[in-house]
Amino acid sequence: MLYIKKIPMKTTDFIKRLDINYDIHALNSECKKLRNNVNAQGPLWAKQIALTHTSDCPTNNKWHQCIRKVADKKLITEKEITVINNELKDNYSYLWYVCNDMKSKFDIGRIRLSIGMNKSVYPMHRDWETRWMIPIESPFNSFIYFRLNENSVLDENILDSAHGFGFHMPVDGSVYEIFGANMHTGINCDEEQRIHLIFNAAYKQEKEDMFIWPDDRYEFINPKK
Amino acid sequence: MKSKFDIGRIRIIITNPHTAYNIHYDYEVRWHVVIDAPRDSFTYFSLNENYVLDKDILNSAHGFGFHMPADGFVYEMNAVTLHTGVNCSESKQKIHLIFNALYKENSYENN
Repeated sequence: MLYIKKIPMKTTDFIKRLDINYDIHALNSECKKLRNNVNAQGPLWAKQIALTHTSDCPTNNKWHQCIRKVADKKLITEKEITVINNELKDNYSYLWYVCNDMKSKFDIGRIRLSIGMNKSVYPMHRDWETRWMIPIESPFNSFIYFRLNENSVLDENILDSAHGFGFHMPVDGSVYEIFGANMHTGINCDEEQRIHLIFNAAYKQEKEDMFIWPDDRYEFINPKK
Repeated sequence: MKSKFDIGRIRIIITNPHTAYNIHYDYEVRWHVVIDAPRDSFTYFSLNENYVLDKDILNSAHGFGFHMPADGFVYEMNAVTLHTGVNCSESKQKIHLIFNALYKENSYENN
């Protein structure tokens, strides 16, 4: 009979603050300008503006082409949505610099500005790739939430009993690396909007990827050995 | 419930899909009987506001969520801690029957 031995979790299994920092005031001001000029599309809990598109994208769709679920549609892969919208170069030069600088450091696919309206919650989900986030506006009571247990146990140990936990990312210009393969969601309990600049890793997207999810926090052991 | 505890308000609270209540605290103990609990609905307790991200999850987390299943049990909640209700479900409402303790007004000042 197999038993499950639980390996202690640590914060970096879920989120890491990287040693990369940008001018948050310049970013904030350009994102505000962008939001004034381009309509964000999507449901209330995840309105988005796309900053990358495919090389053959029609001009009128560049700001919105990549906000749909790529994995679900199976029409375009993450690796194809890597062209940074040229309009950034002329009108939003710092955003252009940040996007290019991030692309020089990581293999990046989609880049989006994501807007979570006040008191809204994104559905619980997991992603297939690493994501990097720069919070542009991060109200006091907004956080990324990772689901942990679904056993409805309530013992003395919080980590055994909690359904999950949240991490707040402050607006400090830092880049946060998120391990989106863990079930997670974005929650905004505040009256203000939660705005994040999100960079997706341009992962190799094949059908088999959808099934790569061994939970490496658990080690299977055979007590008879 | 009134025969077991000193109870004031009794309400049914409905949280719609994709919504969260604002983070707040109450002045009294509350008892919850869960009527409908979608898979990813939970009560979230705010814990830290220090923005530390070290190895220890308890030091680093902004807060914790607890899911209360619809199992007919009464859940006693220490509502004096900052908390909120969250419903990440796509379509189902989160419905709780809530009993408030009949607390002594201005009890904090009196203590």
